[in-house]
Formats: sequence, structure tokens, C-alpha cells
Amino acid sequence: MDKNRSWYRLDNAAKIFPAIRSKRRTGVFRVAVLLKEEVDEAALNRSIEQVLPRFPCFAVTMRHGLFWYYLEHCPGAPKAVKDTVYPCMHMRRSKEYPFMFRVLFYRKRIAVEFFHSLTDGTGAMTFLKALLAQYLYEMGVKIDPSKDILNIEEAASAEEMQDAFLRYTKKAPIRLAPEERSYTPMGTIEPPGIVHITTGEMSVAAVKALAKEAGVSITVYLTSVLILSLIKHQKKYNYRQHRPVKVAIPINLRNYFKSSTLRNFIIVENVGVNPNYGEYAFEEILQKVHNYLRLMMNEKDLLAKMTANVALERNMLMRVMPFFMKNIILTFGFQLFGDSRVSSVLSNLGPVYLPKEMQDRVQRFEFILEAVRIKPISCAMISFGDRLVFNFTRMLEEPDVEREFFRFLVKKGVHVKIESNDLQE
Amino acid sequence: MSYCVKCGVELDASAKVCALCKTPVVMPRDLPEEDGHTPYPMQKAHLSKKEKRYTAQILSIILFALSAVCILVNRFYGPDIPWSVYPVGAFIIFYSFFVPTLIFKWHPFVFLSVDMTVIMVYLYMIAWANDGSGWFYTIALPTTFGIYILTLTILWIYQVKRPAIFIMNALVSAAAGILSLIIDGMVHLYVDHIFRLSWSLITASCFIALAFALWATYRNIRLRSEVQKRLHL
Repeated sequence: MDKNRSWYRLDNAAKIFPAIRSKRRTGVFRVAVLLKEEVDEAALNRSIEQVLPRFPCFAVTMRHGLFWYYLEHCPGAPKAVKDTVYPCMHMRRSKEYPFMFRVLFYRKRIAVEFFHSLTDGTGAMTFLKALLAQYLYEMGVKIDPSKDILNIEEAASAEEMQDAFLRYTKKAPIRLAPEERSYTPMGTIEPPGIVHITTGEMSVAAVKALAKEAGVSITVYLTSVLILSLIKHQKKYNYRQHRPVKVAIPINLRNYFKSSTLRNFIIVENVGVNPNYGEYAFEEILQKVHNYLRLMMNEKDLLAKMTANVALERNMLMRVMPFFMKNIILTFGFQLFGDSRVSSVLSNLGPVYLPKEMQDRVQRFEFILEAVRIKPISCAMISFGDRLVFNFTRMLEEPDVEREFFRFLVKKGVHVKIESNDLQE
Repeated sequence: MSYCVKCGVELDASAKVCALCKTPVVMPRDLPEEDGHTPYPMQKAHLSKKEKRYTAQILSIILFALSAVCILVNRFYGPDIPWSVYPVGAFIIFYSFFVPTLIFKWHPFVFLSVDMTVIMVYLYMIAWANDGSGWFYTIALPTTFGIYILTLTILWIYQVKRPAIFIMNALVSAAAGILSLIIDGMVHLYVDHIFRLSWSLITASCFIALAFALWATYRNIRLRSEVQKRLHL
């Protein structure tokens, strides 16, 4: 790997995020770990300096040329900052802080927030685990090399920096059917910068038992609960004509296409039901979600969707358009054909595995997405050991959807602990 | 540990209300937890305003460059006629509308006053260059001043009362009706030397009727809810 390489193109998924940024859309997501002891700021800063050289694709700043944004190598390392009440705030590039990620800490929590052009959830977790390992090492914990953590003594490989979308997509694009507009959860929109986080902590075993009983996976089960909550939410506003209720599920393409890239390599599947067809029972929603994902989550269908996305980037007209015109078109197109096609998003980073020496020091992991005006509720989940953490990010004042969601699980016998960033009055 | 009696979920020790349903947490026999730490920080971040200053600088450079080009071109094309004054004046109006809002934190009334003053100066300059002091004092000045007073009134009502969007739209509609009366009367005063109203009676009636319809819709809760559902953005 050429460590002296000074700039990188954005990968296919990354290109959309700088274009669609606005007051209410930051393009930032967060991964975090809750330790069993208070965080030592000095040790954390030393860890960042040690770990960042292993991730050259994160030691960058973002600039724009005439046609596209690009990433440029940035020397040094950022300092950890104190966390604040509203996560996933704008990542504003400046002379003092040119990086497109930040490390935050609050009591026992270490959080890393990334601008989505840099990486996806998997890449972010890889960085967080390496940072955590180095931090615990600084705190005196001896950790043996493990396949679960990237070795910071090794050099970064070229494959980690690769745009995996370009590697796998064919030349001829395959057109996909357009989707209907979905229900946008209604409520009082908060002013820009204010987001409500509701964290529900529950037992993986309890949720797994429910999912197994229904013959589905945890992701399918919780997606169905979310869809049911959104259907009830839409019904509450008593529309005569209900819109389809769909949830976007990001899929980690590394599970289908061999790649160790640390950059974006995800695609989104929209799954849901149309309440106009009739009253859906929970079991019917389960079956629909389960069968749809089984149908679509295969190499060929995912490749077709990937190729369609890359085709847009390869289009000559799109390539020669100046970046400020691209921003307008991409923003408009994304709102019309992206966010408005779904009611919410549910991203599952899955179980986190750590070496035995680190497991005793960690309570749980957390994963938080941003919410935007046209998709004011976002969900993210991650598990560690028996702790499953389900986060709602909400741009609305009313917590109706998460109330329905968690009450459903409680009625099914799952013990849920709730935490929130609501300012206590 | 505490639980929400309605939702059945366990709550964090620091929670005073349930985050899902806002039911207050009341534990009369339990002692309060010593560690009052919240699971998330309560401190807000301060965002830098550097991007706004940068935008203001870029806008200033662009408008200055455009004005300079117009003045230079005027020297070579039609040097007897100072036509560049008109586009430069328009650039100054554009500048006064947008750039101060990016840099200063004035009261909205101050911004409005600055904008209206710049517009009136520009109109006076056009009138002075074309011997138009007649139309300036009879039409331009009263109309601009009328817009200023009406906008100021609506802004003041919004600041003080914060009325609902229906009422704001009703006020704007009523203001448009009053403005049409002013314009009609002033134009007749300039042309016929007599203040009378003609076409504006029709437009003002439509605007006033719309304002009344909006007010009536607002007062009817069921109708208001139906309109909000169908027209929400």
C-alpha cells in the first residue's frame, strides 16, 4: 500500500453524502462503546495517534474539484472532544479541524462519529475496535493478537482502500422497477440540530427466542415490529388514503462479495407492506419481510442493484457536470427517489466480537444513525454478548413510534431498559 | 431501579419521566440515587459560524466584481449614459438583503429598515436621473413605505403573539389587500390628481375574503385539522 498516496476518489455510495448535506441532514453516524470504567482522556488521545496511521483512508479531509468531491490525506490526528447532548452534528471542515470523523467521550463512553463518505458501519466498527484495543492497552490490559481486531503494527492493504463497488459491477446496467412513495411519519418537527435518542437495551436471547418461534431472524422480527408500529402511527392520523409503509435495510455487501474494504460497501433494500391492501396481522408482516429478504438477498439481485447505482456515476453527462449542479440534482433526485420511498431505516451491525481480554472491560456497544426531515425516524441496532442495543433517532417531538415498538416487545415478555438524551426538566 | 407504569420498560436511574410516554417517575419511598449522572450528556455544543462568514465573503467578492465589470464596460459602451448605475444599484440591493444577515445578529426590524432604506434610495436615484420626482413622491415612496409598515406590523405580531400559520397567512392576505388599495389610490393620484379606488376594490375584496376564510378555518378545529392533514409539507 502506497502510504504516500495523497488523495482518493469517493466510492460510489460516498458520492451522494456531500451533495445532499443541509441544515437538517449532516450525513454523520456514530458507533460507540460503553466501558465499565470512566474514560481517561489522555490515554484516549494517545490511542488515536497510535491507531490512525493504520487507517489512512480515515486520515483525510474532504475537498471538491470542479466535478466531484475527493478525499485528501491529512497529517496529524484529531483530539478527543467531550460529547454533547445531540449526537451526529455537522462535520464542518475547518483549518483547526480538517478531519471528517471525530472521537468523543462522556463518562464511560467512547464514541466515534464518521461522515458517511468515509466509511459505513462495518468500517467504523473496525476502527472503533482497534481504538478500543489500543486504549485498553494504554490502560494496562494485555491483549493478544486476534482476528477480531485489526493489527495496528501491520501496514494497511490496498484492498482496504478499494472502491469495492467498481470492482464488482458489470459494464451493462440493469434497470430496476421504480418504487411508490411511502408514508413519512408525521409529528412536530424539531428545529435543526435537535435530535432525540431513545436507547432500548434488551437481552439478545429473549429476542432470539421470539424470532426463532416465528421462524425468522432477529433483524426480520424487529423490522416487522417497526413496520407494525409505523402502520399504527399512520392509522392514528386517520388518513383516508394510506401510503405504503417501508423500512430501508442496509445490507453489508462484504457478506456476499469478498472484500476487506474499509470504505462504503453497502446497499439498501426497502421492505414493507401496503396497508391499502388490508389489515395486516403481525404474523403476515413477518412472513412478507422474511420472504422478501430471502428473495432479494442473493448475489445476482444485489449485483443488479449495485450496477444500477454505479451506472449513474459512470454516466458521461453526470461526470462532466460541475459539482455544484450535481449537488442540486442529486439532492432533488435523492429526495424524490431515495428517502421518500421509505418510512424509516433500520441498520443492524450485528454481534460484535472481541478478544477475551477486552470483553470484561466492556458493557455494551451502541450504534446511532441520523434522522432527516423526510425520514424523521431512524433505527440502528448492535449487540455484544447478550446485550442488544436498539437506538431510535427521532427528529419529531412525539415519541409515538418507539413507544409502540418497545411496548410491543414488553408485551411479548422482553425486558427493555430505556435511556434517552431528553433534557430533564 | 424504576419502571414506567404504562409502558412496562425499565428506566434509567436519572430519568424523571418515561422517554416513551412522558409519565412522571414518582417513587415516594425510595431515596434518590446519589449518582445523578444521565446516560447521555446534557451539554449542548456550539456550532461555529465560520461557514456563514465565508459565504458572505464570497458573495461580496462576486457582487463587487460584477459591479466593477459593469462600470468598466460603461466607460467604453455608452460613456455618455451612466447605465451601469442601474445594475450596480440592483447589486447593492441584493447585497443589503443577504450579506448582513450572514454576518450580523441584528433584530429583524433593523434588517427590514436597512433593506427598505436601500430600496428607497435606489428608486430616488432612478427618479433623479430621469426627472421622475413626480412619480417618486406620489407612487414609489408611499408604496415602499406602505410595504415597510405592513411588513413591520406582521413581523411585530409574529414576534409578540406567535400566531398559527393560518393566522399568519390570513394577515399576509389582508396586508396584500391593503397594499393593492394603496397602489391603486396612489397611481390615480399621480395620473388623475385625485385619490380614488377602482380595480383594487375587487382585488382587496378577494384578499380580505381569503383572510376571513383562513381565520374561520382556523377557528373550526375539525376543519383546521383536515386542511393541515391534506396540505402539510
